[in-house]
Amino acid sequence: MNNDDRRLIAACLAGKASAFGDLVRRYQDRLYNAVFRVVENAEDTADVVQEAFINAYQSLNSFKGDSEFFTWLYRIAFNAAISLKRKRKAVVRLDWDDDDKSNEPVDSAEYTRPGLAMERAEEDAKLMAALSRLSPEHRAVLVLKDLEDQRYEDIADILDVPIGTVRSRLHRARLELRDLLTRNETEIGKSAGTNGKPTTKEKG
Amino acid sequence: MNSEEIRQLLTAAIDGELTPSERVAAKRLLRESAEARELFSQLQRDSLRIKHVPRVNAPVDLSASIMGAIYERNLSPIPLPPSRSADGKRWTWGFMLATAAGLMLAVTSGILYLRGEQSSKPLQRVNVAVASPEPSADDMPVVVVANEAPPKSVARAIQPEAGPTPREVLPDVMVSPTRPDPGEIQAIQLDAIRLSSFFTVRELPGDATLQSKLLAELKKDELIRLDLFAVNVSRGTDLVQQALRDRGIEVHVDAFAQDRRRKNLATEMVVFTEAMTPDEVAQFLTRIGADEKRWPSPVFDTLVVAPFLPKDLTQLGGLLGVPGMTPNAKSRVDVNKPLPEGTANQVAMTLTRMGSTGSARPAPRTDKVAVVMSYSPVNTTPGASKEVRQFLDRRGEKRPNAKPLMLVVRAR
Repeated sequence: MNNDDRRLIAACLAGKASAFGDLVRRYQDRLYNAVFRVVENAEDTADVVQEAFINAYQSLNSFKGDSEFFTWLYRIAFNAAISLKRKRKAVVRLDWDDDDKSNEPVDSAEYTRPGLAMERAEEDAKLMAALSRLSPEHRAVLVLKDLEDQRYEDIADILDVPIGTVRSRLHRARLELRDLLTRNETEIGKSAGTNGKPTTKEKG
Repeated sequence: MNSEEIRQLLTAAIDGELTPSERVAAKRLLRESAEARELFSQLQRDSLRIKHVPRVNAPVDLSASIMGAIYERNLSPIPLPPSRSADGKRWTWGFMLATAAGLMLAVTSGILYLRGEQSSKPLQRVNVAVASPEPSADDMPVVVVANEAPPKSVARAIQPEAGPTPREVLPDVMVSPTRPDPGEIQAIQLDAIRLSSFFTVRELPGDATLQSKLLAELKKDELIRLDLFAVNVSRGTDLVQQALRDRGIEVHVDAFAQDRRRKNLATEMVVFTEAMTPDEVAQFLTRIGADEKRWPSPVFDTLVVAPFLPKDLTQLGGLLGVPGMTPNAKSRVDVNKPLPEGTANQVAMTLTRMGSTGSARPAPRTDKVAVVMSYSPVNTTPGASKEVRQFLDRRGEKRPNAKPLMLVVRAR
């Protein structure tokens, strides 16, 4: 654990609640970003992050300091985020449905427009849509590994599973994501073909 | 196709989590299988795409919201309960030590007993005899084993072993050194230390002695701090407010406190007023006791009259949203009178400064005004409270004999 965190935690335990405010400001953006990729809803994310910080504050005495404070905070937040997503599993997301604009055949004119940023945004949207179709557990490992660059050991600690499970879960998650992205690309290609609209390649 | 374990190597390779032997296996797999190479390439691309997804920042007010919730719910780190296993371990160690000590004691006692047995029977087995017809030069007795009667000519003399040097004993105890004189031990005068006093408000009506005692306590400090524990805080607060109104005091209730009460949330309340002298506070409390008696079940429990401490003053400033309400740090610390002289007047002046001034004042001032706020959880933005503002605007000059009163209605 780094010294700043240690000092702030000690101050909190000594009764200085404002020191916890420093910890919140230090980690809120990072935690919010990670949780948002699992929960996919700004309001729910804010709730999960807020409750995670409050739980951490109340449980500060039980934090032994043998891991990073942020890893410990992740554990609290990700457990809450995964539980929340499990509860809402019955709610079907429409992002991937046929009426969703992201899946509509793309006008060839779109490709002629300059602007890499727009293309990137579309790619990101597709990726996010694919991620959102993964189970919360698979999404969580991908977020922790690829977005947060955590080691398997830390991911195992955060999700409270063996390292072997992290490895196999990550592998299945990557394959599933690849499958979803491939299907999406295929469906777009088919739709474009049936509509008689040429794709970029066809144009070239 | 590859087996599941072999395929997992590809993921671990992307993540940089291969052991040396796995790295060799992964390289071989990629060299030998075009399908594996294609999959590895695709998975690596997907991983990079995720890594480059734009980051989302937390809302700007998130930290304020978190800290606000912590203050509002009056949260603090929960102390860890004593570990049962640690206790058990301690008990086990204690038991082992006690057993070991007991065994040692038993063994030692046994040895001493046996030695005692041996020493009590020396004449049966050992004779002490003079080995030589003439005494030896140093007059030492010679011990001879009886059942092995020595020849008279060759007696075996047994010399005593050299033992530790005995402790030196002073020849005359009267000249032994004595401990230095500790001097007179000062007795702790408990009656000189100011302690909190406890009353029961429903016992106040009709008991003049109790009322006098209460009055004496209320006169001790410039500011009065009362903690009135209630079985039912809502009903207790109602009785307090009614008693204030009956004395002609205008009561402003903070919307935050009202809202919590309306939602039936557990809340402790605090009343602040400068409208009463100690005599009037005693009458006010007696009146509350009389009102309580009319209820079928007890409303209040204990009334605690405690010395008004510097931290109470700071707390009061926080409740009213008035910064800098702290006692003079340079003043002498007196456990019986914790706040320096003139604190009540300083409080009054500070509060006056916080109220509206000049022609913009919305209403004429009165010295009979009180404010009711949430004590726990505390309203984190008292400065934004319309009712607290009204109280500050309405409060007039403090009467010379009136004392600021901070009355907390707490849950029993």
